[in-house]
Amino acid sequence: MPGSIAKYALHAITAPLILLLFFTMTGRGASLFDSFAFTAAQWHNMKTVFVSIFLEALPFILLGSLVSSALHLYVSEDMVRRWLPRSPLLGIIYACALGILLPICECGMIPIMRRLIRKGMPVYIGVTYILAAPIINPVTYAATSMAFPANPSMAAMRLALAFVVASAVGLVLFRTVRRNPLKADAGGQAPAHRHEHDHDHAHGHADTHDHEHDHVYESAGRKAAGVFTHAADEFFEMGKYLMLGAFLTACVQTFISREDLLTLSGGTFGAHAFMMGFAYLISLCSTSDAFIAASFRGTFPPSALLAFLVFGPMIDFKNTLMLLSVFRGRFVAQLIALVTAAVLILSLILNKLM
Amino acid sequence: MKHMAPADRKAAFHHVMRAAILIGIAFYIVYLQTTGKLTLYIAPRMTIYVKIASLALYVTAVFGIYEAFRLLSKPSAADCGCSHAMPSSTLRSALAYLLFIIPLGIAFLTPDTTIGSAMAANKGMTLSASQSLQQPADDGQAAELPGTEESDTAISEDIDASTTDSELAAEPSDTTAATPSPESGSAPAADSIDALFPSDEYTISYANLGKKLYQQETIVVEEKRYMEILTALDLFLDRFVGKTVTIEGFVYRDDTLTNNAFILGRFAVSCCAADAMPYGVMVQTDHPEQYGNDTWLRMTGTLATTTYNGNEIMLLQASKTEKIEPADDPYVYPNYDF
Repeated sequence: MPGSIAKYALHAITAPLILLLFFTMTGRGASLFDSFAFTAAQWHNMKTVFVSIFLEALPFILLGSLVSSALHLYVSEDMVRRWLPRSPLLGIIYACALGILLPICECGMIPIMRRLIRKGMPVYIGVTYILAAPIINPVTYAATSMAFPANPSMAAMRLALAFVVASAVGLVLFRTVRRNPLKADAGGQAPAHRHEHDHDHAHGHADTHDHEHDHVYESAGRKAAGVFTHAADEFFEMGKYLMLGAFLTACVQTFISREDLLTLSGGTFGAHAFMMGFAYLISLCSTSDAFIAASFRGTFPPSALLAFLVFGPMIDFKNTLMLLSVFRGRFVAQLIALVTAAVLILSLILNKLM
Repeated sequence: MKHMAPADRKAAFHHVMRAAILIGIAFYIVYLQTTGKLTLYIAPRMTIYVKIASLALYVTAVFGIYEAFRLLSKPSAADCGCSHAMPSSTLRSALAYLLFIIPLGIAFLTPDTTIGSAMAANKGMTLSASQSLQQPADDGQAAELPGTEESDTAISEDIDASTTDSELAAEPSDTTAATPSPESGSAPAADSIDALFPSDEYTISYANLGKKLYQQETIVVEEKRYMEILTALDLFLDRFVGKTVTIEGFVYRDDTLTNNAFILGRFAVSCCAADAMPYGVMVQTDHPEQYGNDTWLRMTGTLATTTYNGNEIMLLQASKTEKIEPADDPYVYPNYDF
C-alpha cells in the first residue's frame, strides 16, 4: 500500500521541518547542530517523557479499544439510533454532558467515537463528545480546582468555556458536514474489513456499503473472544499514532524550552496564542495540565490560562495524529481551525470581561 | 491443514506478532514494577491503572494466540468471514510492528534514569511556590496579609486544633525538632501566632501548616510535603526569615543566576513524568562551584530573602551542605491532606 508509506514518510519529514522552522524563528539556527548533539541528559529526558506518556495513555487507549470492540460486536446500528436524541441541539447538549457519565480521556474515546459514527451516530455528535468529554467531567473539574486553590471559579469557567466551544463547533459541523469525514481507506467500512478482501468471505458485501455487517459467531464464548481480537486490531491502529505522538512530544519537551517559546509571546493576543500553542505542543492529559497552567499564573492573565486549559484537551499533537487515523486530513484541518478560532475568540472576549 | 488458505496463515502470523508485542509491553510494565522503576514514569496514584492495563494486554495477547492456533489447525475457519485488520503488504506490516518493537526494545535495553536540571531548564524552575495561591489582580500583595474580619472567626475556631496539631507535628519531624520547647504550644503563644499567620479560605491550610513549622527549631522540607511546605514558607516568607531550614534536592543552575547562588529543587509530578514541574529554593553557599548540576545535596541554613526577576523570593544561606544519594523516588507528589 504505497499510499500509507508515503503518509509515514510525510510525517517523518514534517516533524523535523517544524522543529527546524522553530529553531530558525527563535534565532537558534546557528546553534542548531549543537542542540542536536545529543547529550546524555537529553536522551534520558526524552526516554522518560516518551515512556511516561505511553504508559499513562496505555490504560485508556486499551479501555477505549475494548469498549469500541464490544460496541462493534454487541451494539447494533438501530440501538445507537434509538439512544440518540433527534433534535441536533439536544444531541449536542447530550454529547457535551456525556463526559460526566463516561469520563474517558481523548486517547480512549477516539476509537469509541469512530465506532459509533460507523454505527450511524451523526458526526457532529461524535466530534462534540470528543471535544467536550475530556474537560466536562468530574475528574477534570476536581483536578483543576486543586491546581487553582485561590481561584475556584477557574474550574467552573474551564467547563463552561469548553461547553460553549464544543457546542459551537458541533453546531457548525451540523450545518456544514455533508460528506462522511471518516478516512477514505477506512471510511464506511469497519477497519476489520478493509484489507484482505481477496480471501473467502462467508458472506460477501460491497466495499462501498455504508454500514457494518453482522458477525456470525458459532457461540457466545467465541463472540466474547472476538471482543479481544478486535480490540487488538484497534489497539494497534491507534497505538501507532500514540507512539508517534509520544515521540514527537518527547522531542518537543526535550529540545524546546518554555523560555524560548515565551519570547514568541507578546501582548494579550500573543499570550493567548502562546498558551494554546504550548498546550498543543506538550500534549498533556486534561487531568494533569491544570498544574502546568497554574505555573503560568504570574506570567499571563487567567483568560490565557483558560485558553490553555480548554484548547489542550481538545486539540494537541498526540490527538491530532489519532484524529488523522480516523478522519480525513481535510476534516481534521477544518476541525483544528474551528476549535482554534473558537477558543481564541472566546478567551479574548473573556479577557475583556474579566 | 493441507488446504489452509494462505490468507489464514498470514492472519495467524499477524495474530502471533501482535500477541508477542502485547506480551512484550505487559512484561515491560511488570519489569518496571518489580524493579521499583514504574514510579520513575508514573505517579503512584496512577500506577494501578497501568498494572491493570498490563493484565488486560496479557489477556488480549492470549486470545490472539488462541485465534492463531485456531486458524492454523482448522482450515478456512475465519468465522466472521472477514479476518481482521491485518496489513496486506509485508513492508507496511513490518513498518507497523517496528514502530512498536523498536521503542519497546530501546526502553528495555537502556537504563531507566530520571529527568534532571536539563529538563528543569526547559520547564522553568518555580521559585515562588505560593504563586498559585495568589489572586492574579493583586500581584502578590494580597498574600502578605490576606486575613480580614471574616477570616478571623475561622482562625479563632482553629486555635485549639492548631496547637494540638503542632505538638503532634513535632513528633514526626525527626532531626533537630527532637527538642521542641514544650511551652511553645501553649495558649498565649497560639494567640500571637494566629496574628502572624492570617489566612483566608484558600490559604487556611497553608497558614495552619505555617504555624506548625514556625514552632519547629529546624524546618525540614520533608519529601511527602515538599511542595506544601515550600508554599507555606513562601506565602508567609516574612515570618520565616531567620529560621533554620533543611532541604534536599538536585542542583540546578541557569545563566540568570549569579556566581555564588544556585537552586536546589525537585520535580513535582501530578500524573506522569511528562507533567513534572520543578520546584526549588535559591541557595547561597561557599564554594558553590564544587557542586555540579544534578548533584543531590542536603543543605541546612538560614532563610533570607532576595530579589529575582523583580519578585521577592526566599534564599537559603547554607551553613551546612552534604552530598547525598538521589532519593529512591526522585519526584515529589501533591499532598492534598497535609
